[in-house]
Amino acid sequence: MISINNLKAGIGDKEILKGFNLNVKPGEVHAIMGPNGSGKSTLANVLAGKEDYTVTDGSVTFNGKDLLDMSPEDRAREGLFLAFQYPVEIPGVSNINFLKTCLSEIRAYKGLPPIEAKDFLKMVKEKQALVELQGSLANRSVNEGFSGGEKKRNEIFQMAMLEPSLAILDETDSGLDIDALRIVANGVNKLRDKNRSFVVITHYQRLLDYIVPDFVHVMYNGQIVKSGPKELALELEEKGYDWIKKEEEQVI
Amino acid sequence: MNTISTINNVQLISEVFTERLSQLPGGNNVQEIRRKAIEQFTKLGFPLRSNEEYKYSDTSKLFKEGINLAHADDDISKVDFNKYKQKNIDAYHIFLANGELISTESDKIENNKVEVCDLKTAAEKYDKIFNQYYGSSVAKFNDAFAQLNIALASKGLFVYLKDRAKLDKPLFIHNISTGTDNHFFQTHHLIIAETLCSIDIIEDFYSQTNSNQYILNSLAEIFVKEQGIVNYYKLQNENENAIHINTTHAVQDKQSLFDTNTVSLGGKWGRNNLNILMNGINCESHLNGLFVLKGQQHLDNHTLVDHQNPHCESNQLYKGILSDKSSGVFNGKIYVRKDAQKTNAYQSSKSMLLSDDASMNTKPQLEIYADDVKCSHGSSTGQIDTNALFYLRARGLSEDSARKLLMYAFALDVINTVKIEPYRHYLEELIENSLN
Repeated sequence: MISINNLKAGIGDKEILKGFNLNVKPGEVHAIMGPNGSGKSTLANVLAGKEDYTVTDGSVTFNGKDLLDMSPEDRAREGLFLAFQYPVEIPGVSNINFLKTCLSEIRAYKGLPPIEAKDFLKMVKEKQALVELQGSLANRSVNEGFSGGEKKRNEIFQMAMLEPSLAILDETDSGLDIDALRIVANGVNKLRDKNRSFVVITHYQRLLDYIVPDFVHVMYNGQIVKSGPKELALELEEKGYDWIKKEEEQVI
Repeated sequence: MNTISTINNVQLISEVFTERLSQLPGGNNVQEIRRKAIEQFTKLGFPLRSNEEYKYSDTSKLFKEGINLAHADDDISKVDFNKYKQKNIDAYHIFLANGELISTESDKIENNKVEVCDLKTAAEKYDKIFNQYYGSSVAKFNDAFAQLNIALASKGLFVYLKDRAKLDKPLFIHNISTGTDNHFFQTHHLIIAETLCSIDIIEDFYSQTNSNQYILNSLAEIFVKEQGIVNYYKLQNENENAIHINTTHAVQDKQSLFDTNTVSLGGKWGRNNLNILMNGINCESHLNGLFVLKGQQHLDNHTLVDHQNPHCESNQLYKGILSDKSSGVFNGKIYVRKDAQKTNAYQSSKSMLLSDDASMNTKPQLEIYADDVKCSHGSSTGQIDTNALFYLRARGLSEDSARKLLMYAFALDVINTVKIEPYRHYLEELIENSLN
């Protein structure tokens, strides 16, 4: 699915990712945990193609193609989806028209005809139900005046509509109460299948109670410093990140 | 050099005025108003940058090639009027070529409470009203173009509603200009909605070809009497050589409503003066404006809302999208006079600059002499939000469509104030095209 090798990237002269490696196979769910400032969100943004970041070294292969060579829109069209940590409010752009335009551009890229209006509406209805998003929200401007929980649900709704092969969830649990967390996680779980992979970036273990990962990685100082099965998350929850930090510093 | 040719132009104009005066529509007191206006114009001359109101819009360069005051009515027969008619907009379509009413092409209004005719007919048929109103609203407006228009205008539309008339469909005035070679002409609309009358007016401005070059100085005087309702929509979509100068002056009597929407897309150089005088209590007015400029286009929007009476409300929203080397101006003046307690006056101006060479000058001016009022103004000039752009691209939209979508969304809240749905759709389409 995606293979990240020795990725180095940063903003200006500041290097944030310092040789990051990760392999994700189809159908797998990888969790990336780590303390604040370890480079988790930078990783998500670099993979999605945000131009503020400069990649200085390394390679990313996504479904056999060179991801770093693509524009943000082509990455999305190739099946990469980033659920934003801070979804942007866009007044005046209706959620539904926006998604319709996205779908047509993605389909045009793949050489498919535009989706029929009837099929589109059916799809909207189905996918809205998945994240218990009210119809009225779908008709409003993108994220405008949405609560924190509604914004995150809207991200998962968009993901469901765009049907990516790889979804990166950037701290989707932040700012969610327990009910919203369960709704979001349920939505994600329903979208899990053997061909779709997830990279779940989170600070806390609690999201992983709902979205159970195949692998847990700990990120620190721009690299993965520890990988293990899902139980690693519990260990982290118990011991905190200081344990990892100490281990790292000892090695150095 | 400029000054000399400008002086020559002013002289030429005043000579032409003397020659034409006796044939200009209106009785003795209109003639007197015209004489005073030309006097004032001669005194003012074409405004230079030294004039605070024209600080960003020097007009001397517009006239340095000289002006051509001859009547340009020779090629009206070549105009394909149907081309300008938006067929899916159910309205009374009225056509004017260089200000002259083309009755043969225009819809008839079968309503004895509503009169639509040219100024000449009005000056004869409705002499009392014509003489009472013509030029009266702008007599004190110290603007050279408005004064020149009052002095010299012979063509334009007279719209008169009486006996609680409510026009069943919008009145759609199509202004088509055929002039070439600096043809400089004045058109003047006189619109009067008597007590309890209501009307929707759409006015659009087009050039006959995509290159004919002229200078249009148009003026609309609008009187909204007690409890009257006038919705006035203006669209300027002329060719890239056209110079467009417009003054719209509304006088509102008590409990009246005047809403306006000014969309400017075309032209090389444009100036819109929009003046609203709240002459009675409980008046309400919304002033919305949108402009999309590119190339070397220049547009100057000046608004003036004069709150003279208590319990009135005005609300302004102007938005502009500027690219290439275009330049824009928004100057919004609000007066709240001593007696105008309980005034609500709001103003907001926002522009989006799409290139480093585009520029926007904004100047809000609030002069408040009453103490129990709510007034606010705000202005912002910015670029496209890069976070929003990335968000849209990360969902698969091309950079181009993402930009377009954001610009369109920016423009939309101005267009959404248009209440006539088919006209709104027409504007949406025009704006979408102009953002390409």
